[in-house]
Amino acid sequence: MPDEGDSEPREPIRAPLAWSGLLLLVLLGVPWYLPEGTIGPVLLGFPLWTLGAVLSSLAICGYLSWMLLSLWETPEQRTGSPGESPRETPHDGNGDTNGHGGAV
Amino acid sequence: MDTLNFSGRSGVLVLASYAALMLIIGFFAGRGGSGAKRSPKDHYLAGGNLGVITLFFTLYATQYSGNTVIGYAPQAFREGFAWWQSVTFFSMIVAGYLLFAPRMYVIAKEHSFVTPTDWVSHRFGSTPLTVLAALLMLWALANYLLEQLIAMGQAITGLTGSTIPYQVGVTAFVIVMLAYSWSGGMRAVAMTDIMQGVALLLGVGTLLAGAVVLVNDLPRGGGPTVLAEHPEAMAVPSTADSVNWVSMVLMVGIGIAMYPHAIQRVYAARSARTLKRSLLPMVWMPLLTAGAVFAIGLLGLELFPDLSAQDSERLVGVIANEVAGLNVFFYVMMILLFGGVVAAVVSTADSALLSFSSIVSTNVYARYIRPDATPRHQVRVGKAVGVVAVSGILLLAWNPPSTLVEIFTLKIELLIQLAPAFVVGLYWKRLAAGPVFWGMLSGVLLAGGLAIAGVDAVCGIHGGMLGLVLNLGICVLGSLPHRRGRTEHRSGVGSEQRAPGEVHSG
Repeated sequence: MPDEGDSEPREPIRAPLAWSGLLLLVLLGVPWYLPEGTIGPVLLGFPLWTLGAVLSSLAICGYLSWMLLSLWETPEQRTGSPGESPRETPHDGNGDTNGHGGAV
Repeated sequence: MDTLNFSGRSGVLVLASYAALMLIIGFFAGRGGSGAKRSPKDHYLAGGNLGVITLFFTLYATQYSGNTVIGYAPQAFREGFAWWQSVTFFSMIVAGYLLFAPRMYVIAKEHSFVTPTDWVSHRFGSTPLTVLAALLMLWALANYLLEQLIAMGQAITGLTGSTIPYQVGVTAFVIVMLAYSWSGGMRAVAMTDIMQGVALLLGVGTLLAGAVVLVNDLPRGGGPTVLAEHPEAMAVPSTADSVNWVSMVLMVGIGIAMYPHAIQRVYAARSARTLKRSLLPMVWMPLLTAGAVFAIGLLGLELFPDLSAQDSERLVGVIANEVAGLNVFFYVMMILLFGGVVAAVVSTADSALLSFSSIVSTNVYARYIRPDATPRHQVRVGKAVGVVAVSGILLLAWNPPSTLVEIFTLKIELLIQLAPAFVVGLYWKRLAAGPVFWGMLSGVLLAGGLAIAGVDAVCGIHGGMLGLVLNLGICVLGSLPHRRGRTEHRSGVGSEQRAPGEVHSG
């Protein structure tokens, strides 16, 4: 559904594969693949599936950080400016709604 | 929490100190903002000029409440390892932001949005849809406020050993909250959030450290023994529970990012770069906060294995009592922790209240009642609305009718129904007002109906998620027949008079 075009900024929502990866990590952290009541095998005093859930959470944190840093191109990055806010127009409905970032 | 050994006068002193600190910070924040009393944008969004650290802490304080400590540790105690899902769902809230924040930030700045409802009217130009979205947001915020006020009263009573009665404690802190919110608006709320966030983080860290010391001091010599004594806490949950786990992670991830005060924090960022840099540490905070609280709950199983499910609600107070008995350092830190819990509750409540005021004053009063109201007048009305709203909710918090509470517990299930308007509406040109209205309404009715019928989940899937699927289906199928056209509506007072069935397609 996202608009295509080279002029569009890079945004996480435009990367469906990345979202599929995130969903996969969430699913890997949930022990749906084991029978109810399973405990073993045990590692370091904890069932292996619990360690899998913790590792999945760590992976999700790392993955989301990557998504934030790599898939989100801010207006500052596009223009090379050091953190200026986009131009603002009064909230009176007179602004061009199809301007930068408004191509929705 | 009515049996805290460290409660009493010292608790009263700590609470008074926290209250004084909040007032001082709020006072200076109010003075610092040149236009804090002039325009809605200055008052409700700190002029859209929040920096990285302030934005991070206000995002943190909005997401993590005192309830995260008091309520989630007992949940881990009862549910066992399955409650690790709380860590994942807090992380996924950032994923929820990533669905819309990059684009929404730019559009909000261009059109000087103050509230999330501004986006809905700007994009769809439909009065019925705007009103429905505003009602959903106000409902969720009022619900959230009620929950925070009840938690605040219980924490105050516990910390002061009932020296300060429930009603007196809540009223006093509500007055403090109103005072600094009144004088400094979002700027004051965000600045106090820094203090409140630090207090919560330090308190939770110390409580966890104390709990570890206590476990190691147990006669059997420490080490992880939960598995031996409570194998059920470490066992794989049923398939329905696993489905429920995934459903919860997705629902909270999307739903919390739809909170009006969360969306307003996106608007309030100084720049997109600032927003990005503030969200980055938020990805990892669940490990330090929800993860630490989860560990405290599991350690509770070791320390108090005989605590009943009902008594486990007092788990944090019970552990804190033991930790406070270790030495003077832990004693002082536990007092600070409970003060921090109260502060964290206040910090969450103030954000919700400010958001509530902004929606009523900007989207209801200034749009439909007094379209000629000046910005200053709008802000004054918003402040008055805040006082009236919190007074009404206070009355409910004291004597909540049980049936009302059942209905009132619905918030994320309903809020998530806003997602198509905010996420799909940003990117899909064809999405039309009519289908969004009917989809949102259908999703709300399905989720609400299931909750009222006492059905939490169907095959493990939450009613809110089922409502979202229905909602999304109606939005997409209903919009497909409409021709592709310009999707943003030129927002203007009095320009949105379409019926829900009418589609704005430019």
